[in-house]
Amino acid sequence: MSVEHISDDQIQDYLDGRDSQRDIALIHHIRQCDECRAKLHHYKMLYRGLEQSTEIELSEKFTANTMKAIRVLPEPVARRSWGTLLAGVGALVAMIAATFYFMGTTWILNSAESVRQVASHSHAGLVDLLLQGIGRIQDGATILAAVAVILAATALLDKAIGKTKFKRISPLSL
Amino acid sequence: MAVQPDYRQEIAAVLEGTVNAFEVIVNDHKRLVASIVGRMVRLDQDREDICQDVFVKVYQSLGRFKFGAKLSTWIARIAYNTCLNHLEKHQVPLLGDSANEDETCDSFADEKSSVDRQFEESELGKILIEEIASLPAQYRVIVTLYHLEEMSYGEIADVTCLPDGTVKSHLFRARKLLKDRLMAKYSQEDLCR
Repeated sequence: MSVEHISDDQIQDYLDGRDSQRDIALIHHIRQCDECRAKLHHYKMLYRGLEQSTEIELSEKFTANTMKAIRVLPEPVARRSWGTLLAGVGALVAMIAATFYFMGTTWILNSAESVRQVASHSHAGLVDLLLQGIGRIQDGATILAAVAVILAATALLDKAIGKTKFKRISPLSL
Repeated sequence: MAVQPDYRQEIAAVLEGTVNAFEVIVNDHKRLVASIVGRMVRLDQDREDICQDVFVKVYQSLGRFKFGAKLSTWIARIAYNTCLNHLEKHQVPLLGDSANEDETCDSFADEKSSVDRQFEESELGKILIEEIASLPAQYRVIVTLYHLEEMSYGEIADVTCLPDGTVKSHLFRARKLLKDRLMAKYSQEDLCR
């Protein structure tokens, strides 16, 4: 016969059904040990008591009152997930990359040169240089059209993926 | 085992503006919320208001629910946090005074061959309710979620934001405390007559 008594934790594990490996040895010991059998019995009574429902009695009008309180609240709104935002950013980057691919980068170099000239002639002909710089941007109308396409694509993507609004929900201390 | 509803339809309907769809969520979870609030908050007059407050918060933050966990676990977490805020406001310690935690009573009498079930279901039930009420709030809620709501350690950990191991140790300690207190307060003869 085993001399060591069964610990409280072992009995709780046994009653929770979490240690089937040791169950056989435990049952064998309990059959022979009055003290451990009594302890097991006490825990069994405790478990039965704990499983008795003791929740508070809510009033019959609880649901109605709660719904009444909720109806005056602003409508909850689904928050955009990071995944959706990242998809939007990804689409934007893709559109910019496509713009560079199809239009080349000459217009950027020309614009940079214009800015450099403006910076080096800060005392004279500033306006002229600005106008000259703008005029040197290749195919400005195409750039504007590309920007418009990007914005439209982003908006469409947002509508297709998100189906949600950009509003927020009130912060909660969750 | 019955398949638990995931409430996707109801949540979608609420987010699209059909407020009445929320009533299903309230009806299906008010017992859970009442169970948690009932265990954590002792003042009767506060409890129903807190339960209502829980559902208001659930409604307001429904758009945040991402179905990563069961809706009941998420609602239980909101109920738990709402109770924590209430306890904090009233300066009630979460783990209470642990001075009595080590009290034990090893003088168990021999087990009787039969136990009066009627006694167990009435007198012992009353005694237990009193003893559970005297436990620290966090022990009370963990015991409730495990035994009444049949949540796993993982689910309780999600609700309480405690590690699984801490949940288990709190649960075991709470049950040992209850068992020891019952044995200390009432003789084996009283319990088994």
